[in-house]
Amino acid sequence: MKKILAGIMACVVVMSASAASIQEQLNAKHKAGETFTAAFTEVKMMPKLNKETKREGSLTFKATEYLRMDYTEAGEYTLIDSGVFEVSKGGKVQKFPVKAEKSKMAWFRQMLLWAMQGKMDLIAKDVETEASYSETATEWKVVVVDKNAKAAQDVKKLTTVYNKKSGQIVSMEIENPNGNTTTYKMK
Amino acid sequence: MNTIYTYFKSHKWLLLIILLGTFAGAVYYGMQCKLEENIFKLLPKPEKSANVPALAFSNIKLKDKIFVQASHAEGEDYSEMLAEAMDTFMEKVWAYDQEPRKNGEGLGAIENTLSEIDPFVLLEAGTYLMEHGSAYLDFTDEEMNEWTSAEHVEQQVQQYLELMDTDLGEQLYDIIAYDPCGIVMGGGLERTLEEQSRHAGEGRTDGMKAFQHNHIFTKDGEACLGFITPSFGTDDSKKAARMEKNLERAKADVEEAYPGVKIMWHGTVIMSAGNSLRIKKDIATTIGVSLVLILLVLAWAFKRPTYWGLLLAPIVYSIMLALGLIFVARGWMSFMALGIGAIVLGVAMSYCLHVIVHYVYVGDVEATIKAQAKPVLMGSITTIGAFLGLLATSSSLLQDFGAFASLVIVGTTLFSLIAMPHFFPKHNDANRRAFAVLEKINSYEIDKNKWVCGIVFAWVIACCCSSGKYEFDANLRNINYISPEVREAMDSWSEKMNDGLQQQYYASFAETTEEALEQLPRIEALVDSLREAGVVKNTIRISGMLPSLSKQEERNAHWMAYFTEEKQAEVWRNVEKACAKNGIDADWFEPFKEKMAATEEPELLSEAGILPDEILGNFIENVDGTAMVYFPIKTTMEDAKGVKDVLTKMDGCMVLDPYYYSTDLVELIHSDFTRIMLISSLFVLLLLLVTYRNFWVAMIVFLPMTLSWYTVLGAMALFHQPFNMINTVVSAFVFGIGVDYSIFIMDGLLHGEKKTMASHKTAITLSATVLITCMFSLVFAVHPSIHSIAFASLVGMITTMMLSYTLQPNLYRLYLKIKDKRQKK
Repeated sequence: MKKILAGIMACVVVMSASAASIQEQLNAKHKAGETFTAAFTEVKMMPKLNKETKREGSLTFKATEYLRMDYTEAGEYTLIDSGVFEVSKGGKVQKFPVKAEKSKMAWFRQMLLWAMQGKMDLIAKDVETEASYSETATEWKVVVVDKNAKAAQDVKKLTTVYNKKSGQIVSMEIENPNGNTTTYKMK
Repeated sequence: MNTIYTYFKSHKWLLLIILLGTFAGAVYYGMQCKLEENIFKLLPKPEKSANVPALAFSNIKLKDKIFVQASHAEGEDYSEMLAEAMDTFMEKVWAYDQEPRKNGEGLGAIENTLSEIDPFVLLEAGTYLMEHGSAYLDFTDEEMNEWTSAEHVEQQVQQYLELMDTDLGEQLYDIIAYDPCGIVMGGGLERTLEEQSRHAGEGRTDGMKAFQHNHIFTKDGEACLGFITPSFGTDDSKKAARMEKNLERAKADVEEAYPGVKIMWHGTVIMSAGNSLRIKKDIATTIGVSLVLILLVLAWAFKRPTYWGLLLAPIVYSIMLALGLIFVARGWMSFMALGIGAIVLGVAMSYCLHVIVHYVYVGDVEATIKAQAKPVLMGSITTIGAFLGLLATSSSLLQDFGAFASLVIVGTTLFSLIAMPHFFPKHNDANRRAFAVLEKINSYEIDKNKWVCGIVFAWVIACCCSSGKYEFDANLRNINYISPEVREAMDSWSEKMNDGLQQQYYASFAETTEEALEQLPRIEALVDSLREAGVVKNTIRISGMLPSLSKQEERNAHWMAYFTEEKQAEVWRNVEKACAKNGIDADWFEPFKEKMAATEEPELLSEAGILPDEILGNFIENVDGTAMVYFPIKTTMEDAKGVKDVLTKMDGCMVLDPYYYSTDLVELIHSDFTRIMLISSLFVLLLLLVTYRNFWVAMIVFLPMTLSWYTVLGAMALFHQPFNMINTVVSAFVFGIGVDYSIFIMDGLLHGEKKTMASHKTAITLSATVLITCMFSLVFAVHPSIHSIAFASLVGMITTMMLSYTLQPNLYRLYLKIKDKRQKK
C-alpha cells in the first residue's frame, strides 16, 4: 500500500514539474512587444446541425494588446486593441463593450490575448482550474477545462498547441458548452 | 431693568463672563448645527397608510437618476460618434468621481452608470427566460396544440436552420434549443408582444426604438442616452454641487474631443444642487448688497463706530445663541428657515435701534432703560408669542423658523436691555445733522394730511375687501428653481422621449417584492381602463416581465398539466421527425425535452442575478424596508393630476412625485398656519389689554397690525400674486413688526412728550429703512421662492408703517375727544 501511495505521489510530483516546466518554457519564449504574423484557417463546427463553416485570412499579433485577424472576405476582420474588441462581418461592424469588469467579451478578449502569448496558466487561474500540459517532439499542447462554463458564450474547453522552437501558437480550439467548436490553425 | 443695570454696573466682570461664556458656548454648538437643504425633509412625513408607505422620498434611487443626452448639432448621422462621446463622458465622470481630493479619497458620488448595454447580458437574460419559459407564458391548450403540431414544428425548424446561416442565428443557437416549436420565439412571444402593445398604447417602444452600437438612442436616433445613479439623495446638495462640477469638467472634455457634440443632463439631484446654489447666490447678492446700503445709512446716522458695533453685537450674539440652542435641542435646522429667518433680524435690529436712538436723544443710560424697557419688552413678547405659535405646527420648516425667530428676538431683547447699555459711549454724540433730517421728516404731521390719510385708508379698505380672494399655490414645484441648462435638457428629453407628454413613474409597494408583484396586475388593470378612456397614453406592463412567484407557479402548473407523458412523447416525436427531415440531430433540442418534463422552480427575476443593478434598479427597489415595483405612465399635462388622483387611491399604489403628496401637506400647513396666526393675534390682544388696561388703547394698537395683515392678503389678490409656503411664512414677520411699531407709537402718544415720540419715530424710520431696503433687494432675486417674498413683505412693511403713522394717531385723538366729551358730561 505504501509503495502504491509513494508511486502516486511521485507521479503527481513529476506531472507538476512537467507542467511547470512547459509553462516556464512557454513564458520564456514570449517577450513583451513580440510580433507574430501568420495565415490562418478558421473552422466553426456545429455537430448537432452537421454544419461546418470555414474561413481563411491572415493574423497579426503584437504583445500584449493587439490582435488583428483579416479574413479573405472583403472588409471582414476581428480587431482587438487597447480597450477595443471589434468584429466586422457581413458589412456590419460590431463593437463589444470590454471595459466593464464583468463583461463576457472582456474576458474572451483577454483569453485570446493570453492564449497568443502562451499564458495558459493565467487563463486557468482565471477560471479557477489547472491547465493540463503535454508535449510531442515538436509541440506543446495545453488544455484548460472550465467546469463552471454553462452559458452559450462561455468557453468550456480551450486547447492550444505551441511550436516548441518558436513558442508561437500553432492551433487553438475553443469549445462551447453546447458542443460547438471553433478551431484556428496557423499555416 | 434698572435694578439689573445697577447690579451689573458694579459687577461688570460678571456681566463680561456671562456674555463671553454664553457666546463661546453658542459659537461652539452653533457651528455644529447642520443646515438641512432638502425641502421635502421639512414637510411632515405622510402617515403610513394603505395608500402611502411611510418612507422617505429622498431615499428612492429611481427618482434621483441623472438623465444624460449626447446629441450632435447636425442631426442623426453621428450615432457612432455619439455612442463614443457618451462612453467617454461616463468614463471621465467616473474618473473625476474617483479623483483623490484633499482628504485623499474620491468624491464617491456615483453608484452606477448605464450607457452601454453588453449584448451578452441580453443573451444571458434571453437564455434565462427560455429556461424559465413556462413561468412567463400564458397559453390556451388550443394554441399549444397548434404550436406543437408536426406541421408547425417542421416549419419552425426549417426557419431556424435558415437563421443559423446568419451571425444572429449562431448567437441564438442555445436559446433556440429550448424552443423547437416556436412557442416563445414564434407564437407565444409574438402573441405576448402583441398583447403588451395593445395594453401599452401609443409608442410602445417608449421612444427607445433605436438600439445602436450597444447604446440606447432616442427613437429619432438624434441623441444617445445615458443614466447616472448617484450614491446620495437630494438632501446632500454639497455632494450634488461637487458632482455637477465633475459633470461640467467631463462635458468640457467630451465637447472638445468630439466637435459638434453637445452633452446635457437633468435630474432631481441636479435640480436640488441648483436650488441650493441659487439660494446662496441670491442671498449673497440681494441681502449682501442691501446690507452694505443699510450699513452706509447707519454709518451716516451714527457716526461713531461704537454704535455700529452696538447695533451688530446683539444680532451676532442672538444668531449664535439661537443656532447653539437649536443644535443642542435637535442637532439640525432647515437652511431655508435660516434664510427666511434673516428677515427677522430686521425686527431684532429694530429693538436695538429704539434703545440706541433713545440714548442718543436723552444721553442718560438709566433714563433710556426706564423709557425703553416697557415698549421693547412688550414688542418682543408679542412678537415672540406670534412666532412661538409656529412650534405647534407639524412642519419642520415652520417649527425651525418659529424657534429661530423667537430665540433671536429673546437674545436681542435681553442683550439690548441688559448688556448693551453698559457699553454706551459716554458722549451721546451721533450725527446731529442726520438726526435733524430724520426729525424734520418725522415732524411732518402726516396723520393730519387728509390726502395721505385718505389714500392710505382707501388702499387698506380696497385690499381688505379683496382679502378673501387671494390664491394659495400649494405646489412646491412652482417655487423650485430650474436653471436654463437643466430646463433645456428637460425639454429636449420630454420632446424626444415622451412626445411632449408627461412621464411619471408609479410604484406598486408592499412589505415584500412578491406582494408588490402580486398586486401589480390589479393596478395595471386600472391603468388599462384609464388607457381605454384615452387618459393614459402609454405605459409598460411590468407584470409581464416580472411575474410574481404565485403567477409563475400558476403558469407552471398549467404547463405541467398540458405536457402529460403522452403529450411529451407525441411532441418529441414531432421534433425528431422535423429534425430528421432537415438532416440535423434532434439532440439540439434536448433542453426543450427536459423542460417539457419538468419546470424550473419559480424565481423572481430580480433575485436571479441576471440583470445588472443599473438595469434592475429601473424596475425594482427596496426603500426603507418597503418593496417597490415601478412602472411608467405617460399622459398629457392636463390629465396628469387626474391620473395621479385615481391611481393613488388604490391600495398599494403610489406616485413617485413628492410634490403630489406635498401639495396636500402644504395646504394642511397653510391652514395650520392661518389658525395659529389667529391664536397668536388673540394672545397679542390679550397681552395688550393686560398691559394697557384700557380696551380702546389696546384696540388702537391692535388695529394697524390686523389691518396690515388683511391688506397684504388683499394686495396679493389684487395684483395676482399667489401666496406660497415661503411668502406666507415670511408675511408673519409683518405681523410681528406691525405690533412693534404700533406699541412704540402708542408709547409716544401716551407719554405726550415730543422727545419720546421723536425718538420712537426716528427709530421706526431707521428700522423701516433697513427692512424696506432688505425687502426691495429681494425683487432682484432669481430664485422663485425668494423672489416671491419681496412683494408680500414690501406691501406689508409699507402699510404697517403708514397705518402706524396715520391711523393710530387719528384714532387716538378720536378716543381722547370721546373721552373728553364723556368726562365733560
